[in-house]
Amino acid sequence: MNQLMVVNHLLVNINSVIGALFLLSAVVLMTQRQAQAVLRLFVRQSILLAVSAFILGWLHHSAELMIVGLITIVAKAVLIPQLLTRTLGPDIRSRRELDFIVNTPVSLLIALGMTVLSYFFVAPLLNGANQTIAVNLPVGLDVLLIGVYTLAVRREAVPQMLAMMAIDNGAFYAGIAITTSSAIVELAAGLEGVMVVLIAAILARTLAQRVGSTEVSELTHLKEGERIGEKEGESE
Amino acid sequence: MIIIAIPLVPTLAALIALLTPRIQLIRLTTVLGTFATLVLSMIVAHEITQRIRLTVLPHWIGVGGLSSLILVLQGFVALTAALYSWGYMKRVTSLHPQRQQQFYVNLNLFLASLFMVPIFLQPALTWVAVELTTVLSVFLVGFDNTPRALEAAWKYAVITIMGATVAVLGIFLLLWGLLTLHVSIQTWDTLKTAAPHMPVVQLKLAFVLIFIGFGTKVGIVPMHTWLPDAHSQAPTPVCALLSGVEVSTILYVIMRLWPVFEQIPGGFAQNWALVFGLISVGTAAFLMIQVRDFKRLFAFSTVEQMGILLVGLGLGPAGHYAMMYQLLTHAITKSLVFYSAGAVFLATSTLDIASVKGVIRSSPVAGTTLLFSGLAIAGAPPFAVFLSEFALFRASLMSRHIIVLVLLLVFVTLAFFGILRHLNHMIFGPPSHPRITLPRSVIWTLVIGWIPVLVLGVYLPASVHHLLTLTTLALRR
Amino acid sequence: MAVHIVFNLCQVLVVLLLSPFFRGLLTRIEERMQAKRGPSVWQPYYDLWKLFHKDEVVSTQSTWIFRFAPYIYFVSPLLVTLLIPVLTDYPLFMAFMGDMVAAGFILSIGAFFLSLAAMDAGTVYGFMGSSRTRMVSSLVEPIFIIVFFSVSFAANSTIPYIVQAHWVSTPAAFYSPTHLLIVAAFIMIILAETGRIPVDNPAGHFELAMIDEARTLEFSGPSLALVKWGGYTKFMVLSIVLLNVLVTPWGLASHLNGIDLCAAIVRVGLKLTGFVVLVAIVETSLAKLRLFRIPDFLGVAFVTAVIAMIVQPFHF
Repeated sequence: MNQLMVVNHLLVNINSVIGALFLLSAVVLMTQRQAQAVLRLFVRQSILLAVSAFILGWLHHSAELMIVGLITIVAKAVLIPQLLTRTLGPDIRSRRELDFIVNTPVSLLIALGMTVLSYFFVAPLLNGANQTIAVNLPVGLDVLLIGVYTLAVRREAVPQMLAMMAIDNGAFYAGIAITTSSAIVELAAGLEGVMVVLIAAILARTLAQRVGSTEVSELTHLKEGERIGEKEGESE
Repeated sequence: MIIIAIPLVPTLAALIALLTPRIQLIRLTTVLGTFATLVLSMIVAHEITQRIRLTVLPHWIGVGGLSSLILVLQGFVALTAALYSWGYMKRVTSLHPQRQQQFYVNLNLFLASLFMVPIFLQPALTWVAVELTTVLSVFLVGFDNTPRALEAAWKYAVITIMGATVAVLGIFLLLWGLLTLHVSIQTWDTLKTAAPHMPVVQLKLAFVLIFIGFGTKVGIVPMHTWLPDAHSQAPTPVCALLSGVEVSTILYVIMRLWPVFEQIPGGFAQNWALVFGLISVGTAAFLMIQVRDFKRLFAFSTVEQMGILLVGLGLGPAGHYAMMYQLLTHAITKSLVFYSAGAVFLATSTLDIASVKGVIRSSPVAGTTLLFSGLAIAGAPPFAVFLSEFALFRASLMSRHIIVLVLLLVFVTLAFFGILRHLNHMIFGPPSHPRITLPRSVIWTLVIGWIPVLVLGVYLPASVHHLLTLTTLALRR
Repeated sequence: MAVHIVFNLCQVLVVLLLSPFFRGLLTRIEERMQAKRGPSVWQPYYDLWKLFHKDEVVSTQSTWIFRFAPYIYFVSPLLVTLLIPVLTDYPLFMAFMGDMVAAGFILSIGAFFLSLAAMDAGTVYGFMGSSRTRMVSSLVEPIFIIVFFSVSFAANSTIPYIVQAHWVSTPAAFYSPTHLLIVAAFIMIILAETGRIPVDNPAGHFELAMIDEARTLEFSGPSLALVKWGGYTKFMVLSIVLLNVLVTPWGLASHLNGIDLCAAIVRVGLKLTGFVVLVAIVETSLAKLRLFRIPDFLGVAFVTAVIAMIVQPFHF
């Protein structure tokens, strides 16, 4: 019995370390320029999420969380990268953003602000909460906020999409600690993740074929005050 | 069991559309399927007026007043959209007729996901349904395959999925609240009763996340950037569905959680709704003046209407009835406006306001219906929106929100003139395009679409009034 | 007391004598990883020996700063050695003379004088190297300070011996997110401060791309030997702070006798070898950053350190 307690204690501690790595991965993901680097980081982040789910599943004796971990591994660490490299291979390998909309130091300071903010919001809820919640909830919220910011400032289609999935990771990272019985949602979300990326990948490919680039910043035709060409809306 | 059948019918229709290549059959099944769902949802609504609540699977699937209203509206717009697609899609896809099959499969799947949103009793399942509506409508938005349509679809997918993900953390926070109170059933009702026992900070955080998350998909202003693009680039029947019912369907989720959030002390949620509602109405009103694309004009009008609905939500119990009324009139009128705009598009092949003139001469049907439906959505009497907006103004006066009332009046007037200015340019003057005949199904859709707008503009049937009163029950603590 | 003093001097000796070896080891491992044979592990010793037996050329235009700077640069890491736990986990004679902030300052005095000397000689590359190292250092210093803040938040002290004792006090403290984030930030600082990839390329011979090395171009003979040796000891001292104070505070001598001390030398040597392998992996798997990307890299380190501080109150 005592030995089990030691193991559990150790797992809680490892979960804390994973929390730190998870947060770090979101910050680094924000600063990466190459699509491939972003993808690699996203995969690592997803694995961290899955490991955390396994640990929490063990601690709470929750099969649902184990399933969540499995789904995360299968969908986000295996399927999504494969799908992306298959549909958008050359784009992932070669494309990078030379200039961000906001320069990196400023972005980093904003990420810092997000961290302060999320801890500030969550702090009152952590009184009396156990250590796993104290790690996962603020870190998850923070990764979510950083992800939203990353999504907003990215100009390339693939990193934008991966930022979107990172937001998902953040939400679920917090979610696995605070609810242990929402397997249905997570299951659906994992499945949907694949669908979402499938759709987004196909979209991005058609986009690349049509517009000639996956740079989203070139998509600025839909604006107020821009004249619409004659017959433009005509379908083929 | 009827309730479960509602989303099943479009799923079946999608299956048929997938299996048979005969386009005539596909069109027919889609129209018949949507007609069946409309009838079914009317039956459900009728049952609701007798029994207030219908539950199929306790704690899983069931319908109340608000859900049944949403179902009826969805059924109605789905039917008109299916009918409209018959002739409209035939004409716009004349170069690639085989793409129609893909369109119908997608449309039916999207309808099924829409019908799924209001029937679940658990917020988690509802969230899944909301995600489904996004995923299944992305291809419909990008159906034209033009760079603009793809851009709109991309923005739509990325921004709204982001919103849904933000919202899911809010839902997790609420479920955590239930968990700590040892409530194992996670439905709207248990949330409502458990809310007073949850920490205020937790409720506030959950509210902000859910409001921003789902608000993104509703098109509340700072997060609205995708809406005018998606709602104008999609094929017209899809625009009608998106603008007419999809946004209201997502707003429905916020409404279902409203009794939970209303219990945050200090009117926190109400103030957020009022502020963001007014910002939305104001921004949309100003942007409507300078648009150059007439479908975009009406998309901004959707932003404006959603803002008005939010204000109604924020006014408290006094505004709830008026808000529900507005929800109803917006759905029927906005879909009609888009059908009219689509008719003009068929007649002129352009969306550019500046290059369209004298529609009323080149295509009398399209011109007349656009003029009057534009007036209707702008809030002119004797159409339905006028009555509901008036009811809302009255509610804000009665609940002593004078500043809100004044701002709302200013913005609505501004939007009115914004719409009128563009319509005036398009409809009158020497015709810019040759005469063209509209497909018969488009004309029939317009006729069907006009009936409720006109009827509800002059009088409110007792049964509808009863249903609207029942819908406000969902918002009560 | 006398034993304490002797042990303290032993630490200095160990650092002085072993530091060229670890530099040689690092170079060797990196060359091996890149499928080359590489110089012998003892090459830095040969270099030093050769340089000490050469004549020195000093510009007549230069001032006393140029002649003194190598000595200051050489001595400053050794002074720091007196303050930190190199071999023992109990405080030695000089342990309370200065904390980690003092160690940081002493190291930067050396670097500062080297920069001055490089400018003193009046060559273009010296100026360039100085200004670039100043840029890097001015970014690294706030991170140093923040790391010390985080550490002092966690351990309620900045004395290295006490910090070291804090991490091993409870497993929760050791495994806390703060600890990991501090370590991550500190590794990035070490890479930047000792001129390793991705900030600077120590193996580069292209003057325009140099950062750290450009400062030493004017030195020759014994002065150059001192500067090089100072660089070796600086790398080792920083690694020891990382290993013995922050990451793996185990394996140090806990008894006051010579045998335990010798055993500790072996164990610390093993830890350092491990770290050297890690640095080699990092260096071979990363590309050198463009000069204007360095602030990005250090920005990540800064944010990591600050997050460590923010997170600290919530997890012990």
